[in-house]
Amino acid sequence: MNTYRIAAVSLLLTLAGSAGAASLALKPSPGMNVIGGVIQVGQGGTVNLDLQLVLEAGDTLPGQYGGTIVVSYDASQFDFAGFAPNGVSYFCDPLPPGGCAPIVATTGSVETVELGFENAVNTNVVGTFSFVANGAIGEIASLGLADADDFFGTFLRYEPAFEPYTLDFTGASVSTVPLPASVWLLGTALGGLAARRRFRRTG
Amino acid sequence: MKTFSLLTVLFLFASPLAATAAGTPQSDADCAALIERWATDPKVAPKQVINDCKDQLAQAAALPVAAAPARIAAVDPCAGPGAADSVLCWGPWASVAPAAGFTEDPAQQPIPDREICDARTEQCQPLLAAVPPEPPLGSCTPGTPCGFATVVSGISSSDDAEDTTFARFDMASDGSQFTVSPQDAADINSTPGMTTGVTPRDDGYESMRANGRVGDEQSRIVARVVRDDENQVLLAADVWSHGNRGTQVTQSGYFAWGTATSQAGLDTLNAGNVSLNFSGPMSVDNRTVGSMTIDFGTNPTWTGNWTNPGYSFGAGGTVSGADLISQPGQFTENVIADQSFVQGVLLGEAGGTRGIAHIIDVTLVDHDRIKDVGLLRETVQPQ
Repeated sequence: MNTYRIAAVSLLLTLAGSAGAASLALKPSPGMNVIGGVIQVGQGGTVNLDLQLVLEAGDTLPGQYGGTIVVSYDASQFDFAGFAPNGVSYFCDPLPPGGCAPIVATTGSVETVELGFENAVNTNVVGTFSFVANGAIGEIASLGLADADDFFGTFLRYEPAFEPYTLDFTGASVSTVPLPASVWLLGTALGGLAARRRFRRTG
Repeated sequence: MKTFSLLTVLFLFASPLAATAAGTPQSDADCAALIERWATDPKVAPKQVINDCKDQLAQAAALPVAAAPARIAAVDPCAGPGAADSVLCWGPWASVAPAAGFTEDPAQQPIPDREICDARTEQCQPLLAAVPPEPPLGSCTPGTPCGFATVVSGISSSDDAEDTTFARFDMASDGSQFTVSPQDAADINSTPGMTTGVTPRDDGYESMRANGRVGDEQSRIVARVVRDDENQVLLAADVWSHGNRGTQVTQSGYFAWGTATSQAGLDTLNAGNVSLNFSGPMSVDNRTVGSMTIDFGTNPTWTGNWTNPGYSFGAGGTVSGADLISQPGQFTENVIADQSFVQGVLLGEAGGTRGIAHIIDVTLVDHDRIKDVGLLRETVQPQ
């Protein structure tokens, strides 16, 4: 009987935990190696992060969502490689010359990517960020995610009428790791084969 | 003793009957009403009383009539011999409470070209217009910008009804500036020259964002807007915010705004006895859909209903100029009428974009108080 009670309480706690506030988070894209919540990537490798919007429980359509975010990181650890939107449109205010696109800015050692988007319609991947990891091996680097306006906030639900929308923001952690030993062995083998072929031709 | 009491009661009941039967004089107005009722129901009064009344009215008709018809209340109904029987007078009791009948309200004005005429005496008197109640947030002048807003502390734009106040709202037609004027507090002025950006929407509106910052002062509008060919905003609704980064004091809310229909436009609508329908989401709780109908004419009126997953209610009232004001007697039964009101304004002109900006402050039976503001768009009914 006790087992059933414990199971029931656990289920309720799980459900309560899942019905949290709306959130926007940088999540590792499919195919990324993740250990203990930390993305593992080789030095010089590419980190792909999905910008994932999770709506508050009970929020339903109609409801278009959008706002402006800032991703911040140490400029010595990452290079911004691009953002691939997934069904959303860019939003910039004011609209810069040349159109709306992610804006990269560096202040001291901190680099930021500012990006406005709208027309996110549901719990979904808003788009995918790509960064090149340049950190030292063994270093854990973080990518922060925040609202671009820390005073009023920029996120809104658009339909049927505009409504301020409060989100929890969660960034990501990336660990730069050495390339696996198999990669070195494979490289050595390939090099040996190439050398032997050259030797046969010249020999 | 018992016999004496019985006689007293009988006397009290019999006295007025006896007086009437004896032909106690009536006032002219009462006589006219009595004769009218007698025409369809001969039992309403004894024949003698009716004859007396006819004689009395005939004498009154023989009196010279002033060139301009006198207003009903301008004639003292308590001065004549029929004062004792008039519903307009009740002698010494007047010091305790007013008589039940019509009393003149100096604020009432005659309705042009509208008169009440007595067919027998051929006397006509102007029909007096009912004085519309004063709109709680003041009247909107036809042809000028007008809007309403909610005001709360903080940046959330919404709060409990008890912590939400109403305000008049005005903004520049390019969206670069706004002013919120709460009922009992100082005006909230946005930073001047906010930068604006407009993007398309799929619901007949455009999205307008206006942001401004001067020192620590910061303001913004995020609105659904309808603009004209010259990019001037005709209708706007939704979020306003203003605050100071230094003090961290912020206020925000929702609004609905436009330009009140001109007097010429209102006259045309009234002359055509037109009915217009409007619908749209409210702003504070945008699950609520409001629908209103205005019936124009000599005495224009409106009705409306508001539907939410958790409740619905209806209201109605008068139209005065461009103002829409609720009448307590026209709320649906689930509304506590003496604690509720609806105020709105008709926006826009014929051939253009018309809407209604309005506020609701309604307390429902078995439900929390509701304070909301909304912009409704004209809907064209299928033929």
